[in-house]
Amino acid sequence: MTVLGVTLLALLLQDAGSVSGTVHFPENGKSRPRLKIRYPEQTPRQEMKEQPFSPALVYLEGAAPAKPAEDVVEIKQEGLQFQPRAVVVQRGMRVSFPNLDKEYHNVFSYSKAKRFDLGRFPRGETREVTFDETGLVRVFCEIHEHMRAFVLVVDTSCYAAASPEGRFMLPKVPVGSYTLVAWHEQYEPVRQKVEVKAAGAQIDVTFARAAPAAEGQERALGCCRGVRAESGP
Amino acid sequence: MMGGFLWACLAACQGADEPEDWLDWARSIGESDLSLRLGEFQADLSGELVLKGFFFAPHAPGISMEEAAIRARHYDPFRKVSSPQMGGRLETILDASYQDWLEASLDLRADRGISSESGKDFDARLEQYWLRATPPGQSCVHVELGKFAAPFGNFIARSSATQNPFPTFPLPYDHVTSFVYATDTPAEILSRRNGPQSKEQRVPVWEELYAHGAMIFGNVGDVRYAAAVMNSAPASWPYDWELRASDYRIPSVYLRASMALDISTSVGASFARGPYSKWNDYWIPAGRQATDFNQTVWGLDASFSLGHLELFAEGIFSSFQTAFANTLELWTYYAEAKYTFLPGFYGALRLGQIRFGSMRDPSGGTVPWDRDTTRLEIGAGWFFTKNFFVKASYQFNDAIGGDLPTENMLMLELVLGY
Repeated sequence: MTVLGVTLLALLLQDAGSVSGTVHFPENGKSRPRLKIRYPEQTPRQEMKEQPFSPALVYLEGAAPAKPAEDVVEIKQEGLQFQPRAVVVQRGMRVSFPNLDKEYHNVFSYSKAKRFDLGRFPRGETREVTFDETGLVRVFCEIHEHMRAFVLVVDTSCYAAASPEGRFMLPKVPVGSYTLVAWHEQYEPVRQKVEVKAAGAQIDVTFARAAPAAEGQERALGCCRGVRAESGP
Repeated sequence: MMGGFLWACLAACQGADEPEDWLDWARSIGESDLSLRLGEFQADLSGELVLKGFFFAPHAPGISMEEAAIRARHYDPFRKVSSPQMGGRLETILDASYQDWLEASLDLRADRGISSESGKDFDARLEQYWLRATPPGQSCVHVELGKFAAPFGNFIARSSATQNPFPTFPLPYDHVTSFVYATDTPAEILSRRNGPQSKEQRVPVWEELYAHGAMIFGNVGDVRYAAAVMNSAPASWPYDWELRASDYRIPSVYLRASMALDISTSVGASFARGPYSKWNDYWIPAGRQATDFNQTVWGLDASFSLGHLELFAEGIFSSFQTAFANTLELWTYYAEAKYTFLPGFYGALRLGQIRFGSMRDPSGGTVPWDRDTTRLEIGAGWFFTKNFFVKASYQFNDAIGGDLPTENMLMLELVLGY
């Protein structure tokens, strides 16, 4: 049975191509969240790093979900910033939150897709969270208001984070028709049809409008409604 | 105004499809991006709507309920109010920055004050406005000018509705004493001990004291420091906080330093000294003036946190120079514990005590100049979303001596941030 399964998978992957492309970000006049010191007691005791690059996240709707990878994705707390600022993971995967700062952090989220509070833990320690519901999870630090990160939980193994130049690649996508969804924290998600052939597919995505508020962004993604990839090719 | 705000929130949700759950509207408001960037300049708007319910008998203790009316200068000490009462506040903060060296903030508050003069229940004002410069390459030195919070104690930095686990402030920042004017005689002070308190009497340290002045603050390694000259002392009334209420020739001085012993433990010390009243009333002895009478305040504080536990404590010694009574002294402290049981759900406990020094009474003996009081608060809170939460607390107050009955209070607070 196992041999049969492996053979079928190999046959499927023979007819697979990669989806590569570029996302484009127009200037939208949005400010960067910054550290607000309202009272002297809020002065940080360590240097703060520049806000890290916030990548666009892309995934293919309609691609069959594979068993989630065992890998743990890492979001570091370093220089009073989350690094990276946004990650995409498959449902069931874990994200670890190591603290590399000399100050406490208290990572939490009250998002619909995941509600957690890791408490305060010191430098060198880490905490893990398993994301078992699809959706957009907004992650904050209770102590440092400006710190925020995003975990996009999808139900497919075809996903990637774009490079700072906007380039991305989704390897080994079975031939077929899909919807590519591109997400960025400052823009409304973009959904675009893509036809994947054995030779692969090339696609350009351009964000247009500023991101709607939380509810609208999740709705535009569709993932929080439990969109599953039942209709894979 | 608050009704309009709620209406606008609900209207904003009408435009959306059927919501996924009943809190989507709050999430939408919380994640609304009210920001603007133009080159090196950026600005953003944030704030919160706070609704409070007070259930008490026979009098509401402290100044929590009357605070808004006092700050708005519409407090009516003769107006009778009975339980329950409902108050609220809408706060909008505009933060702006240019490059990394110049920041400014405007804090506009509109609130409903209880015990207000008739017809003046609502008031709006600029609670804070300041300009801050950070010398280039010196991220650990900031210079601030304007109307801002006095740098005293460890509570002001966590006084926002989001961070304060209780709807009320700790006893040292909330308790009303029987002392009012520098010219009070011992008989006047003692007479107030046994009557229903006017909330215009002195508190040891005003909960959020937004006075005018200049401040330098920052950090050197693990030590944070702040030094300020302001036009008000910790016990000054809000009337004295205003720009034109002082000639600034005799300002109050504030000094504060705190140090992290390790990542979990921090200790701090505060000092303030200055004239607590600028009003030269008729009874001030010849050759003296109101600004001759100072309040001196010392504070020591500590905090500890680990995992889901947070502990805070602060002890304060205050003395008031007076014209006809001897120097009036008091000791007060609070200790607070907060534990997060579940994501978004916490419980909290706070103990506060105030002990008053002796004063020569009219008969020649010595008596405490006010009633020693112990306050125990039990509270809990639940965050529906990051910006929409509810808090509740019950306050037990036990005063020693005098004729006033024990005053307890239940408080509920609903907060929506944006």
